[in-house]
Amino acid sequence: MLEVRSLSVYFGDFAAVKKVSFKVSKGEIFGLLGANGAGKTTTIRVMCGLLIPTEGEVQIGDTIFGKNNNGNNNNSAELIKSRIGYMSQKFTLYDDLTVEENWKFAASLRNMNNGIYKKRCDYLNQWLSLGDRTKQLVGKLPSGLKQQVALAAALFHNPDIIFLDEPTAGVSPYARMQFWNLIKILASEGKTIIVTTHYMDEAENCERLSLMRAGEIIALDSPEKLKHSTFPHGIWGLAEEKIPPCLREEKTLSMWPCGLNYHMVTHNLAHWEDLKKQHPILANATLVAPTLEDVFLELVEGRSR
Amino acid sequence: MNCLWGFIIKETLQTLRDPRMAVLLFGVPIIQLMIFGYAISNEVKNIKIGFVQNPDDAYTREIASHAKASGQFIVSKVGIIASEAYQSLSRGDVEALFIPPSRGLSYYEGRGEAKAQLLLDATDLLRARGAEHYLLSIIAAPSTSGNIDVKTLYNPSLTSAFQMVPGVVCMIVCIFTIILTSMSITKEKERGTLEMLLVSPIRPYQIIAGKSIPYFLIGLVNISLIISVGMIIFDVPFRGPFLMYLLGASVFLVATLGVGILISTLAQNQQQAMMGGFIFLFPAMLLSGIMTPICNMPEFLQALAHLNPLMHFVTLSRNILLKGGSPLLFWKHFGSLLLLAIFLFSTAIYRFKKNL
Amino acid sequence: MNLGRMRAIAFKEATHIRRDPFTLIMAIIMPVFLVVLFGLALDLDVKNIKIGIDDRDQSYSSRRLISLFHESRSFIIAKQGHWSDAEREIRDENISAILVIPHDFEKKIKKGEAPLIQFVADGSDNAILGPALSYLYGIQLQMRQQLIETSFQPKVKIETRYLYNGELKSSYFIVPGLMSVVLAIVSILLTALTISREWENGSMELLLSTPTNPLELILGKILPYSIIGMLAVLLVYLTARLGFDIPFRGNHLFFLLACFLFLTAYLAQGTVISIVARSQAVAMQMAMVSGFLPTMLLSGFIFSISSMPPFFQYFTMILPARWFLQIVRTLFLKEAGFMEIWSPLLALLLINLVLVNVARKKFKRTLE
Repeated sequence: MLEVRSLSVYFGDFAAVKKVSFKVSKGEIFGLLGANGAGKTTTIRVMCGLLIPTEGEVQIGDTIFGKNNNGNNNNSAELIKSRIGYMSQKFTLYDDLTVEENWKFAASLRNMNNGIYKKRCDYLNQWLSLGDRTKQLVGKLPSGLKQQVALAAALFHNPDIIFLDEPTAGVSPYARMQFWNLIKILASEGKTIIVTTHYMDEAENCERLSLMRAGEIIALDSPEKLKHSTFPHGIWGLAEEKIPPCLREEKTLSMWPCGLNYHMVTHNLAHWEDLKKQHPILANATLVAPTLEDVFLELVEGRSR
Repeated sequence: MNCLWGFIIKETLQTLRDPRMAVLLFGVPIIQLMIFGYAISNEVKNIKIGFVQNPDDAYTREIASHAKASGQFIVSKVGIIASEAYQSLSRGDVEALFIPPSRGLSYYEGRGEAKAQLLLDATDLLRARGAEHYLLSIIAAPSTSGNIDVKTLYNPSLTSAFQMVPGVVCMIVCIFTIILTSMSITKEKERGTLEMLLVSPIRPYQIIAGKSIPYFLIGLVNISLIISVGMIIFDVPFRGPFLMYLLGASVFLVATLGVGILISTLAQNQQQAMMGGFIFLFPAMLLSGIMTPICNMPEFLQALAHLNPLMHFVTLSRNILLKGGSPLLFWKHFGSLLLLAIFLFSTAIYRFKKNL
Repeated sequence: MNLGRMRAIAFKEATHIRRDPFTLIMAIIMPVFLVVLFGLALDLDVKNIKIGIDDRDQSYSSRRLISLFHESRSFIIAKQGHWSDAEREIRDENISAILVIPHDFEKKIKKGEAPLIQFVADGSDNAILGPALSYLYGIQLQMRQQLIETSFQPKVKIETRYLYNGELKSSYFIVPGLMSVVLAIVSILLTALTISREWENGSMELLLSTPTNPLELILGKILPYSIIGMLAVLLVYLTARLGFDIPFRGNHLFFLLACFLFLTAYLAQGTVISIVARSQAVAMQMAMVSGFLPTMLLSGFIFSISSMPPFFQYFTMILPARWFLQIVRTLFLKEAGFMEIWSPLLALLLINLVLVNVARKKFKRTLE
């Protein structure tokens, strides 16, 4: 469905994205995870045809685009624009237009005829159970609902691929849950979804995740496999105040605070046994199930430390 | 005080960070001053005049050559036939047309009074009137029998830049102080960052001070910059005390910043702020005396002009720069400006507080 | 280029405008308001120039000379007396000039010598000094005829006829000029912010992710504003005709065409600004610098273009207001046909094409 091949984007000397490649298949929810400035938004913008990559190309269906010989964005990038839906992180909808007007605008930018528009409108309206709220100004909607309406606007023309750039930033947990339910329904209908997020619990919903750091993909797999591959020996949790200071300095042990506990990871089992002998307190450590948060901290933050 | 400092620094950085804005603030005014200083004058020049002329009419030819020599006229057509006269006027080929009697002016020499006609295109009133006066003065050449000796003070060469530069400075500075303050406050309102400021320990008056002090300083720098350029390029004199001018400029800036803040309290978004700024600026400029004298307006507008900070400062600037500054006039206009500034700024603060 | 998408953008823009009635009212009512105010205010016929008279002769002749000033109605004798420091009165701006009649004025006339009168004038405002000097010239002529050489007869008597504005009404000159200035400013201001606003709030990113192309976006943005602009034109036209009684002697069809070309030119200029600026504050400054000031000062509204140095005469050719002003003055006051206005119309058309193309080129379809 979608393939990115050794994509690089430079802003001057600064490499925002470095040699990134991945494939996303139809109906998949694909997550891009990373700290701010890791290159997630830049990657999405290239895939939407909003940015010309410095190197590499993007293939959506049969259409390939990227940097061509003239250095211009070729027309192929324009071709895919009718097949994609995009929700940007900065802007979602015009506040001074009603829900319906926003939708209508989104639809007419893609030359949708009136009949289809009505059908989509009814469908989406039911889907989100908005009722009369379609006549309300978007500025007056609660932020969770606004996000759903924006998703609907991005979906209006029934695109094959939907790009969501931090769609749930600043939305309540309940609204986020609702939003993700919608996304799962879409995926089950065969839509390909590419999403960036900050929330680890949301990332669990992705079928595959790519972790980005400084413009590079440092890991790419399903959430479960990521946990396994990152922590083959498991994670040890220990209550905070019991940890002797010398252990915190221990170079071979990655350690980070997690709630009231500390999580500890070693890549060398023998070493772990050694440490246990030196510090009897470690016997109190219990094996805990790794979360994506741990994966993120270990891979993205840990290695940059 | 620390809080305020932080705010002022943030505001200055935000304004000057965009290099285009920095160019617009400091580079463009100088270019503008040069353009307006060179281009604009109240003097009427290059009047296209046509003479309908009979080949052996020496006297009309003489008038034509005098007109040409005077420098005010471009003698564009000599010898067109009378029937074409109206056409050439309506097409704009000529602006004035001199039609001597059919026998020619020379014929009447010694035979009494000759009657000639002068047709003027009065679509441009000022040019029409200028043309008439110049031509009459050419025809009735000055005699030795009783002249009025005109002595022009302050600007004997009638350089228009002397009069324009002080005015244009006020216009340029006024535009950006009003627009920038009103837009920057409205922008914070639009983005909701004003609310963020409110939960911080900063006080409303500190917000206003933080918003206006950077623009005040930029304004002062700008005024000095443009005036110096005017002095260097156009030789505009600075005959009065600098302190007087500085005082006037400071109070003027406070007044315009007050207007800017006032507009921002009324506007919901930046577009409205801009329209509001324009509604103030356009009348203020026309009622400032920069382009047309105020003494010539209807009474109620003359009264209205006294509420115009621009008018007071333009009058002050011209007086200080060209005439060396009259203390009497200074106190009159400086006083009015001060009252206006206090009124505008305190109303602005009051409304700003109420809006929060 | 797809009409449907263009219409969608125009509709959306129209809704934005509708939801913001302040802007709409401003755009339509303000031009009328300003035209009325300044049609009344700007009288270019400078009258009532305040002068002081220092009559050191106090004779019959000097009093007759003073009465000549009095009758002219161009001057107001604000003060009479004797000043040791005459300049001070001028510096304090109580009066614009002082006339000094020497003590031997009458004596010299009787002897047949040429008396010399001094007129000390304030040179700091040419807008007053210029007319004052030409009135003074008229008085000088009268003085010669009535006081000095009563037998003096000018060789040629000139009868002046002012065509197109026989009574020399300032409003005939000012109102059509104001019309173009006000409309120029309103249209440039209205559009200058629209595209920069989309950049500023991030919606441009979304628009770019759709198949919309720049031309559709630009024309769609201009369209609703040009309708508002035309409405404003209509109101201003009615104000000029009914309120100020200004004749309209040309062809209305050409007028409409010129208005349309003029508005689109300035709307396109606003669009170029808003594309280049990307932030509303910068866009605004650019609009003021490239639209407001030049239109007011360089379009021939008050300061005539032909009086400018040649370089600036060419420079003004890039200003749509200059051409529109020429057309409007011609159409209102002269019985002009196509022959008289084809060149400014063509100029407007060219400016339009250039601006829309610049807008299209400058408009990047990708983010930076």
